[in-house]
Amino acid sequence: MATNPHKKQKIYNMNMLTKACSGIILLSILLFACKREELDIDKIAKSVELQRDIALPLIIGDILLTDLMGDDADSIITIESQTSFQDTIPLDLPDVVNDLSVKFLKLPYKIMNYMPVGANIMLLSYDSVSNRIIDTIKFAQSGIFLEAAEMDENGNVIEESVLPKIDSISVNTATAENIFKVATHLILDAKIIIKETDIIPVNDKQRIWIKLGLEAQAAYKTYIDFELE
Amino acid sequence: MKNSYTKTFATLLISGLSLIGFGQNNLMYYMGNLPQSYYLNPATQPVCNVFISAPLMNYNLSMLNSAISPSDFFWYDSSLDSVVNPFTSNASFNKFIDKFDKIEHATFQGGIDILSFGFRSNSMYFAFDISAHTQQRIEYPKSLVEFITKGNTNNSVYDLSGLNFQSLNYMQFALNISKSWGDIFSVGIRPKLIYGLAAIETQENDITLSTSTDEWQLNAHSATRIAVTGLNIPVDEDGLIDFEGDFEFDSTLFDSPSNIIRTMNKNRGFGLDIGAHFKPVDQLQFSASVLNLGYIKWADKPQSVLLDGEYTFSGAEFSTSDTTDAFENIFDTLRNSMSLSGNDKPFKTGFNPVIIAGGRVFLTQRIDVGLLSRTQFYNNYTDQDFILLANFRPLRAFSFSMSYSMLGRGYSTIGLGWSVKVGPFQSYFISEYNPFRYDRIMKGGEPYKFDITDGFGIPAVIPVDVYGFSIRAGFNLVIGCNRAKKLRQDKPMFNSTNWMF
Repeated sequence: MATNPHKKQKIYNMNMLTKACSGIILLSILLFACKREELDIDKIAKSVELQRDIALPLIIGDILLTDLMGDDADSIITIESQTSFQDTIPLDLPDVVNDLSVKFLKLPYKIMNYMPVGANIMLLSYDSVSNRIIDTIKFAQSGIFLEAAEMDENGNVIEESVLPKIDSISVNTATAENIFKVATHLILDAKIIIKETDIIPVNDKQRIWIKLGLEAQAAYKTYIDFELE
Repeated sequence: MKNSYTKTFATLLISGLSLIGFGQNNLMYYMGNLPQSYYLNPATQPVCNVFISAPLMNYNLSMLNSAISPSDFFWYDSSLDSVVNPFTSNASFNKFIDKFDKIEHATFQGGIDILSFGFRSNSMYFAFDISAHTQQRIEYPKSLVEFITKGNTNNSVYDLSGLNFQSLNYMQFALNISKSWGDIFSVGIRPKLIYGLAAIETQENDITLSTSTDEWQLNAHSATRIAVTGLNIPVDEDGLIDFEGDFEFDSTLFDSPSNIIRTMNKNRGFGLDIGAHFKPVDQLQFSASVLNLGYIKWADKPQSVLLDGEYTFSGAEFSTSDTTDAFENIFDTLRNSMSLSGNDKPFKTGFNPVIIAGGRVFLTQRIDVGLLSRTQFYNNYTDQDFILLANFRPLRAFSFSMSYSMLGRGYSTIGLGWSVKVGPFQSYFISEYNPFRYDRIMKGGEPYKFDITDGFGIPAVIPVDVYGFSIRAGFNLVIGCNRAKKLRQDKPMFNSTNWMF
């Protein structure tokens, strides 16, 4: 007996509908089964920590002996006491630094002394509000930091003989946090050291060349208190 | 702070779902009953002998944020037994930032068919369409995100060359011609004539920033090119765009149609899509297509701004003889170190070519499943996507398609599409990159719900690995779709293989 092709097609269509419905049900199950994890609101961490690094060159320049002498400069002078130079770096930091905890602060430097006298260098953190020096960061803990440069028979500095002083100062965290949170200025202080009364020929090549950088890591920490109904 | 997290969750959900989409809809690749399917493979011949799309009623819209999904903002950390976010700790932030690829991008694309129609002629199928397109894309390197969020470390180099922006707006006139050899083989070609409307694009970006405690060195070479058809862009004496000048359209532009055509012809481009289908046996089909070849040449009042220079910052300069603020001149020096110049030379903007290749298996007459590979090429990176497809045709007037695809970091999104035909009228809707996996938000051991009304709320969930969303919808007038009816006159339908497309 011959099969009716149209009847066969009808049965086939019904099978297709069954398959399509099964597919939709399967998809629905799959969708609901694809939950990754449960996030409990009561367990949401309230702490916030943002950590930032910074590495940058801070200052570069010369301290000229002729400028240190000011109007008193002459071709030959006698320095009878310590003479110092100060340059001020303003610290216009945003209020957010008050919540910073400094993890480390380094001050890498490269310094060359082209002066026929020794010198010491310090960094002072200064608060202009209370008009006080907060901390002193010494490049040398004792003695003379920069030895006097050698001079030739004419009294000129032998520049080739001057060796760079390259190192890095690790600032303790308390001092570092004072710099960020309290200080309004950093002051570079250079003092010429005279061991005994001496006659020093002065020219405009006699200088201290300073390059100072900064490398630090700090974290901003706070808490968010919230409640979800 | 009460309810602040409700708002945060809601904002993340909304922003996550709104930063969505991708250019062309992959799902319709094998939706042969949808005339627009030839957009993805010019060899595809629509089932219906004739189609006319409803003018201005067929559109596509897509958005994509390639880097982060809403679920990247909250996850459970078993070591802390807490739900953490990127800002909980430095470790959690590093985990968050590690999700970024070398170059990420955010894209918005939209298109509307102004007019399209097609018809079959024996083994050939001809289709013509006019459409308007807009594409906005910003690309950004991971190194820039790290520099902004984590700061810089000593002796580091940040390659910022991947920072690019493109805004491209154009009209497209396309002719699709395809030819089939029975059900076995078909090829198609789609040449396109393109008229640029507006473009802003950064090109030739080569920017690096080296940082150390010794010096910061910025090397920058970049070109930003701008053109708007018919718009006079004011420039200053150096040839640079004068943003305070008058941006005015050419007053003679609309004097006559010939003026419009002449002006539009200046910003003209060409495009090409090609494709093929091959069916070695009735149950198996292989396909491949190459799309988006071409360019637009912008010659109507183009402007380019070129940045070139090298700047080294070794520290704020001080001197005992100089009493000026040590930091005062840094930006002046930076400005002087960079040379800015402008010119009005014509320039070209390219499209982002796509290669789609794959195949499908016909399980029954009305169900087929397939796998596609979609590779899109950008200047600085390549997007690779794999898509599983399934097409159901339970009724002649209704078809339903699904896709399961990877976008971003995981296979976690599905696409859904349907088309319905009532008489000669067909409507369709395709939505892709819908969330497939999700995190459920709990409170007190119970699923948390956003209250809509008293006693009714929507379960709060965070979609996982959802980076984009794409929709296409429209209406067509289709005629001569029942090929089976015609063929039945020649042979029984259950032996026919014409359902393959």
